[in-house]
Amino acid sequence: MRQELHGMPDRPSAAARVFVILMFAAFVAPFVPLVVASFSFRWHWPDLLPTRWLWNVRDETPFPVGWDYLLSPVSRLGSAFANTVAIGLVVAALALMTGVPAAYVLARYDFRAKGVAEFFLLLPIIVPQVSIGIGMLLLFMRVGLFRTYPGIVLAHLVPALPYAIRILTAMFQNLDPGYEEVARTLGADRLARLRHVTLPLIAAGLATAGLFAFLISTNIFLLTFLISGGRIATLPTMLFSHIGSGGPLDATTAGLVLIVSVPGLLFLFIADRITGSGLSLATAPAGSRAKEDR
Amino acid sequence: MTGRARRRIAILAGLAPAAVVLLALFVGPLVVALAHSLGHAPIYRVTEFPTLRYYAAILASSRFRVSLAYTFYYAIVPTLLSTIVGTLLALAMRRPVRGSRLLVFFFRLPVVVPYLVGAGMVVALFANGGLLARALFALDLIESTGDFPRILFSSGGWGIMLAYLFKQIPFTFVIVSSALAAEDVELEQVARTLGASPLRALWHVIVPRTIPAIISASLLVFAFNFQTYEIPYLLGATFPNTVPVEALRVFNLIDVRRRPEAMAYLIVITLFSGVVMFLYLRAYRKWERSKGRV
Amino acid sequence: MSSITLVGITKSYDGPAVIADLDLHVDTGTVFGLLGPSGCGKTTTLKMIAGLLEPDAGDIRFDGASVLALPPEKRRIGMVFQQPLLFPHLNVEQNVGFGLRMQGMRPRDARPRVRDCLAMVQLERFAERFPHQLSGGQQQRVALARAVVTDPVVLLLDEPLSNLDSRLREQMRQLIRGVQERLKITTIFVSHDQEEASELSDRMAVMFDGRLAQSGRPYDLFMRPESTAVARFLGSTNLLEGHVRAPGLLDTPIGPIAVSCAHGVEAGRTVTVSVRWEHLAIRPVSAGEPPNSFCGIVRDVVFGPTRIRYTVEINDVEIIVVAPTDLEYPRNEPVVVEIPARHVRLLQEAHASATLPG
Repeated sequence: MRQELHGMPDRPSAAARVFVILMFAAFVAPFVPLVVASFSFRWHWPDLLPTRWLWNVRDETPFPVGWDYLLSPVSRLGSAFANTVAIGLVVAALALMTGVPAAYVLARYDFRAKGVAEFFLLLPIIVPQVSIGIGMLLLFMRVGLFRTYPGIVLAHLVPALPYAIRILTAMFQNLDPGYEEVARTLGADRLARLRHVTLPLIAAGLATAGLFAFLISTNIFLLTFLISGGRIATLPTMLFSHIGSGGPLDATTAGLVLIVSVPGLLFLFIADRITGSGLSLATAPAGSRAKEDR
Repeated sequence: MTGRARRRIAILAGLAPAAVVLLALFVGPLVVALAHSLGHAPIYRVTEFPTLRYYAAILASSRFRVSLAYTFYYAIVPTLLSTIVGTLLALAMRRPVRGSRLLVFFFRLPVVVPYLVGAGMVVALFANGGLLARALFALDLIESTGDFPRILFSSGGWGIMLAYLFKQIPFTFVIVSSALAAEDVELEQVARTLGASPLRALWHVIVPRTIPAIISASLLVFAFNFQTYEIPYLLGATFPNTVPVEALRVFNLIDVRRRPEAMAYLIVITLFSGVVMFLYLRAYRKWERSKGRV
Repeated sequence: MSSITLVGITKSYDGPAVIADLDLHVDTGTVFGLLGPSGCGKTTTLKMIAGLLEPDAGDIRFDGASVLALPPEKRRIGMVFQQPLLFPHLNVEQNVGFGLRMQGMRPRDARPRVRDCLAMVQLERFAERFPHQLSGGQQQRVALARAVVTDPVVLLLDEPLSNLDSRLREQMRQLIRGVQERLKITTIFVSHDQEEASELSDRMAVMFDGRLAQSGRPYDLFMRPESTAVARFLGSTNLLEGHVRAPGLLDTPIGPIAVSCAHGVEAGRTVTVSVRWEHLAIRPVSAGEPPNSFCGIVRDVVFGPTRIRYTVEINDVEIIVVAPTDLEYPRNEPVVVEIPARHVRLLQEAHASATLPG
């Protein structure tokens, strides 16, 4: 990185360090009591730590509790997890399939309605999801998509696709058209160019866009909640019903919060491997780069 | 001319898949909601189209006005706080130091998990029987759970806003950080050679160039806060609460003939959100223009 | 190897023509330099020859046969762009072998030819490296090897030296020359750098606003520019405006000059003449001046490794003289500048738009 080459003399000030540490505590420390709570069995007011733990009571309770409950088939956590991942994967695939051609056009062509198209793509991010969700619910009831997996997948596409298109557009803008021109002068036909030049060059961008679509899908609550009609559970809808019914330091809810964070954690690991940068989560650059063509 | 025709076909073909998906799944539901709100909902035997009765009803109801006020309140306060704190955090962590990669990794974690994770944490920490209350008790600052200030389920909405901040401060941090990372260190060094102190170089050279990122981050945060359902539903008061919560409550009433009213809620909130964002962007553009930067 | 012929090529991008009715012919196995300021249409011309752009009208022929219907991948060309544009996901050997692979050759069979081309650009030791591990000059050499590996009939170079520093340019120039002479490949390259063009090309042309202003051997262009615009663009020459007083005699701001060129021009006309820097003589002030000598004062002295450049002020006009290094005249020294009559060239008036700083 550039910063390391031209080392600036000024290090962060003491105040900045304290601030960073405080923030770190505020955003990471809350995971600690959740881990403790998830292993607790009895944690009465006003104890600072549980008095009985999961492993103390395994043989005494007639049915599994805490993690044992969550990981047993009774909790249906497994199916919610599988639903979340499967829906996320399908959403990612569909977002790429429909997003790549659109992004290519937006990045490479100048046309009169381009501003309109770009504004239209922003709308799903701006318009409240409840507004879309309830209308969609009524629409889906009519066409038989209510309470179905395809219905949920389609609902998730609404927020996921615009984000994917933004990332993909930036990717195509950063891809120098010169590479394809060179390949043409070297005798590569359309298919060969796609296979040997374009695809390898955009692979990382495709993966990033797909990963984002996956992440957005796994985080959606309301649209799933409305379209599933309570029949298909994902991790967020499952967590929603547990928070709504449990007490403050309920072991099952705490465990569930941790489980629900797993897809995001996976996202971070994979995203870092793809881009190799510490800030890969940053969304696509807002301003589009000037084209160098001609 | 054939070249131009071919070009047009390429543009249309590229945009078509995404456009079809978004028209059907985004515009379609909005049209349904609009039609219902204007009195065209045959499934509920409401056929008074066109009528503004439902709009008149909700605009006249104090319940709606209170909800709208709270929606704005819960949206704006966290937007301001997360924009300021997230930007400061990004500035404080601008220079990579030992361990900052790890710090950044953890700061990104709240961004990639569902908002419900934040809700779970807020419950564990800030409920009246939560960890913070226990800590205060252990320090002899409160005597019973009743002495702990009501952070959750109250119209003050601190629980809601804390859950937002848990995700949105890191979100702003990530967006602003990536804008800062794109800045050339040498620009700042030039400013230093021209006699600017480190703080002034930051303020006059770096910060102005990150403002577009700060603006877009705050817009996204506001757009989300204005429309979300699950957080105010779980952590807010039964009443008053936000318009989306109120809309879904009305929608789920036994009397389905009141559903057009719910749709009117949704359309109104969509308009409000759009208008606020439009005004915000316009004010920003005006400011940029006054600086001669656009 | 083919000859290249352009007939009546016209091209516009949603507006006025970038290239207007361009005719051009390049003989088999020669190097043709297309020289012009940026935006004059030279890269557009090159891309049309490559097939990357389609002309609006006209024909492009290799060895007399039209190639307009052929897409670039079928034209048997090699092209080196301004940027090296090495495929970042392929190593040097794979980059150079790309064209052979497109012909269906297996990497193992392609290897000897690839190694041969890499040797030609003196990079055989770098076959396993990836583009980002190479310097800019090395990348451009790989791009050259990649362009010629398939034995193209035409080699097109788009300012291949413009992104290199002066030392690397010299090296690359020799490499291109060497490769071209070895393969005897018909080559067209575009450039905005006079020196680069003159050193590389057998014939060259100067292009302004999509039209050829003048073409010929580099020596002819430099020594006998036909218009003010060409003379100005090629540089290294003094331009003087003057009135024709009588056949063979001009009134100019520095004084009356006897010339051997303007005999056909009627008296009273305003003309522009060009005298190259190195054709002027500079000497100390002394009695008995030869004809066409003017007194002036040295205003600036710039030392080069093989010659010295003086700026001499004569009658408020600055004249540049390049002289051998055997004598040195300090600044503010009075000197005499002699303008040999046979070296003064009469220029056609430039068309209005083609004005450029000298």
